[in-house]
Amino acid sequence: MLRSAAYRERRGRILAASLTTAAAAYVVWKITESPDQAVQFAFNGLSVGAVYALLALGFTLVYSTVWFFDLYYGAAAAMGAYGVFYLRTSETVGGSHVNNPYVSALFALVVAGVVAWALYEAFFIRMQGRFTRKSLYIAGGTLTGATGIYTGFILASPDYLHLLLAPAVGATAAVVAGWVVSRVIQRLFSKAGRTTLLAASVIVGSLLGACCGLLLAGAPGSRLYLSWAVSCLVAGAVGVALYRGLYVYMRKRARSPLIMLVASLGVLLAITAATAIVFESAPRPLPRAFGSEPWTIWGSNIKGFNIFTIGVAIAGFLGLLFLLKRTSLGRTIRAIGDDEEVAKVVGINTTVVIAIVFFIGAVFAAAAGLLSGHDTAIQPRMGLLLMLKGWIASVVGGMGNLYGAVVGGFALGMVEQFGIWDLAGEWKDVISFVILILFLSFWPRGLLPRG
Amino acid sequence: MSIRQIALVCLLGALALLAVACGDDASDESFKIGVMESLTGPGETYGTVSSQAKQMAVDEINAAGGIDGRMIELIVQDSKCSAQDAITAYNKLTDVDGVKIILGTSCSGAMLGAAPLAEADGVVLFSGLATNPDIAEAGDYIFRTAMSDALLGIDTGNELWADGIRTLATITEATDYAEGVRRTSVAQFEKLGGEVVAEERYPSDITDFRSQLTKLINANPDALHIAAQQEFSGGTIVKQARELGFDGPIYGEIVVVGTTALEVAGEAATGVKAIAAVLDPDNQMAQEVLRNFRARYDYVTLPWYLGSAYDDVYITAECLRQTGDDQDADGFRDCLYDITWSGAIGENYSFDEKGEISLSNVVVEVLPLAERTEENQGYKSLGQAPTK
Amino acid sequence: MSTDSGGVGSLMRAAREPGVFMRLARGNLELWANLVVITWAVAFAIWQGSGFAITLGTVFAIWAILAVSLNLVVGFTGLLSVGHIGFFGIGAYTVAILTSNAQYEQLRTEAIPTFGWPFFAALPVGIVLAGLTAIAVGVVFNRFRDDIFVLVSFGFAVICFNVFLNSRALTRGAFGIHEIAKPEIGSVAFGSEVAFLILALVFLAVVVLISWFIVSSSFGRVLTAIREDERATEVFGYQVTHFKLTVWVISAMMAAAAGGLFASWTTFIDPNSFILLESILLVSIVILGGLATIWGSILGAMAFVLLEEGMRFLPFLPDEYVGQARQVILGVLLVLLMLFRPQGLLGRYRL
Repeated sequence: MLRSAAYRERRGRILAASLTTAAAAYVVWKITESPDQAVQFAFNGLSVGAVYALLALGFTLVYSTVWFFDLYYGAAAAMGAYGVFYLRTSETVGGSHVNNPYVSALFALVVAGVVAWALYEAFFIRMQGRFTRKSLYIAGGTLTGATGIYTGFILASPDYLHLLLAPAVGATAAVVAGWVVSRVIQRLFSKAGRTTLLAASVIVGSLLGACCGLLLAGAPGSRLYLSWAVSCLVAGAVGVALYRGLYVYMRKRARSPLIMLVASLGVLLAITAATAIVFESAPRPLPRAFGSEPWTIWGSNIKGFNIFTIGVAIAGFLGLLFLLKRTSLGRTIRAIGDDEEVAKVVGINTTVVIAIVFFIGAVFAAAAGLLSGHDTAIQPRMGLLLMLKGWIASVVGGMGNLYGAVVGGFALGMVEQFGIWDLAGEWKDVISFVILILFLSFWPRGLLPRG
Repeated sequence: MSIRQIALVCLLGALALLAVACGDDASDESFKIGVMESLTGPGETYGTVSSQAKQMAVDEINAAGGIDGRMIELIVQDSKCSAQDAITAYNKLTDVDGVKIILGTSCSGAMLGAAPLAEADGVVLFSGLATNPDIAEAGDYIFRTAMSDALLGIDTGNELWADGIRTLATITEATDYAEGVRRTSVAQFEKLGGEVVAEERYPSDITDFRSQLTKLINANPDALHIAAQQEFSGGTIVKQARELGFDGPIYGEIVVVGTTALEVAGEAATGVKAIAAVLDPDNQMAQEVLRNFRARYDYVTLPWYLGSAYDDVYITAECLRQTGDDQDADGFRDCLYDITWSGAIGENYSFDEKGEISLSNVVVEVLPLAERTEENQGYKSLGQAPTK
Repeated sequence: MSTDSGGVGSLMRAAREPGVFMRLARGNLELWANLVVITWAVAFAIWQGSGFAITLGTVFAIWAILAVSLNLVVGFTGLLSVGHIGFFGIGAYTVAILTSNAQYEQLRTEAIPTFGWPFFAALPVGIVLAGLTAIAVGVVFNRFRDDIFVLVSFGFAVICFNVFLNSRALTRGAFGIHEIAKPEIGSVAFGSEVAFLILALVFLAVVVLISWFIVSSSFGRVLTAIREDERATEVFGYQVTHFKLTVWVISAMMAAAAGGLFASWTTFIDPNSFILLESILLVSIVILGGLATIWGSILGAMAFVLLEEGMRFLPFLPDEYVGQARQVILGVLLVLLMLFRPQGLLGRYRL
């Protein structure tokens, strides 16, 4: 048995190496045949690869923490794209009125639920000593209700998005600025008193916040980009809600990760079909974003927006890397990925940390969806297709490894392009899956396996 | 008995009652006509326009007192754009609703799916939109007021050659309609001595055409020919071809210059040429139909096909007046073979022995974005396509 | 083995002793599932009349064959295959290509070679072809399990769909194949709907019998053991791979038979009948009905068919949304099942 396994592995290695060499030789031959087309293919490959990479990052982050593939991220991608469509229908070709009070109310409810849970987890136990239960409930309820109503208003009146969001963005800017200022002062003058600190940060923060808010309120052109943020956040909130509402209970009892996989497949099915009911199944374009003019580089064309997408993918990757390697949150995430039970014993609130992971993953997926929507078009089925591509990319790259996700995403984009050099373009999907199956047969653990 | 048992018995009883209560009580005096259009899916735009135009015509006829006092009632089914759905819709119309005359379908693929059944059952299938050349041979009971792509192909091939195009790249949606357009156009183009240097096809549900277009552009063709089933993909292809730096001429058919297609493509569509049937601006009736349609539905797209669908209803009404029976498919068929009609799409046209009409196509060119209006539909006519 | 007798048995008992019924029904989800679906089916048949019931019956028989065959793989080997629609398509396309009698075909854009075989000659070819494909695929897929197997089986479905769509010289791509022959035995033709329904039910019965035989034989017991603990079974000297591969191939052949029936019944097929989504729906039927239970899969298929047709009569739901609404319901049901009853309605075995 042992010898045969070793033999099989060696034979696999040799086969894999020769296949890779053959593929590389093919690509080199093709490049010398027509460098122009090769450059154009490379640009196309990078553009779609960036979207796959973003999705794969989301998949990988979640997979490396809870060890199952959350197929909801396909739906999150579609939701990201359709969220922008929902908020900006009036500027879209062929879009009439899709703004539906039920849909707005539903998502407002989800957001309110997530906020309520977050408040509970963050403050309830800590504050319990200082205040009575009743007052805590009232305060939390008010905050939750207010957030829900606010979200509902934002979703229901897309024409005033910039006005409605101005206070929220201003407040966020104020808090961030205040925090930064207090940190800086603490660093510079270690002896500064509490009052000075507070005063300085409040003044700078409120000034900056007001500035941001006013600027935003006066800039209706920002609505498109605000709608990006809103749909990413909503998709993220749905991700958290799914985790807290479903997966938590399933994970307690499940024998295998397939339970969660099937449940998330159900979520994907339901959301895809619901999207088709609300928005019709025909493809639609999103409103024109910046950078839709093509640039010519080395005789080939690439849109500014595609370069932006690639930038987002790389920035997202670096951000995640920083988060995981350099922050305390990242360390807890990795601890949970290594052994959840131990992490729990050490005193990490695993539920909250995992919820944050799900949020980040869903935001990545939503960003991927809306970027690809701006680049080409949106359709309800895009969720399923993007989910498969992101899944392939994360598996090929190496399950649970962030570097792998990025490499896998871009590699998949390239393979799809260069693969159809001699074949007709309609075989693109077949190529990516055949490559996947071949690849997994030889490298079951992916290009850059974890650990 | 416990409450649960009572509840269960009640439930079963209610179900049985429901079953009994849902009998048919039909047979009023109106003529029942089936309609199959692609109301969803790839052919959504023209199926919707066509079905709305038909409803408008029926309402006009009924408001004017119907046919000798009897009203027309349309029974609409969604045939999507596929043969499978057309067969389902056809079976429903004939089995459940018992109609013998069906106006439709919008898509050639759907038409070719339902045609053999209609021919075998002796049901009249009468389309205002399906243009695939093969429909001509589909049978005795199959009619259309849409022109065969055989004509369109000859016109397209001639136009390409006359514009000095010698090498061509084609991108084609994998549907009966688009394949028909490509096949006939390329046949004529090659007959004249042209060469197709690259060809690609795409399934209806993709939105990223860049890899296909990259290959086409790299083959260095004089021009690009687009045969699309959906306005959306037609417009997207034009846009993405320009983004990839293709600056040669682009040719297409009516779908590529449809309202949605032009909106999607934006400025990129300027200068795209299409060979299509266009309503005669001097035809008073056609202009009135368009005005009424705009007043009623607040938009107009694909005006020729709108007019064609409108004419279909009036032709149907005339034949029903002659036969006086909506179950008499044979009489209706004979009436269609004999009729000569003047309507929105032309004067004095009639059906030949294959159930086809023959009118002429013109070449249109898309205007710059600033000059496109609702009135001109975004393009200007360059006159008849050259004959050789 | 009593995997499939639970629901039916309790129903029978309830019919004999009405008094016991309520006691049985309390908290007995299986009984309720049986009762609701069967009552619904009967009520529907009475309501809609025999014509529609026959059509639905045929659709149900085809889905049921598919579900039972897939359940062999999912329920007894624990491999969650989402690619089963590929075998269904192979069966359908083989029968279509071999039997299509294409006077009219030749008119169309790309003519294909015609063979004009009778149905019963073409069907075995389709089944064998699917079996051979299954062997090839199974050998490759053998090394994958759990979530990776799900992913590659997605891949199999996508590859099959694209082959149907893009190999135009063989399948006529998006245009589909028309005039597929109806079955004939000697002079008996199954042209009418009733005859076809009977044929489909006979096929279903055969498939159920084979499945039951597999499940209740010693072979089935080994399968159960593999599912419970693969390593241990291997230690006992069983060639786990061979057992899994055998079930996989048998299951694929059953699906191909369903495909042949489907093609012959609709007389027209195009690739849209074999999309990935259908495959996912099929998996949901199997999970809904319950893993490792034959009767559960049949019931699941029945509920699935009734769900769509039942929703057509909801006044507030436009016709074109019925398919989507069914998909929403199935998705939500999947989530609820995974949450509260991971073995499915009538299942014995948890995923």
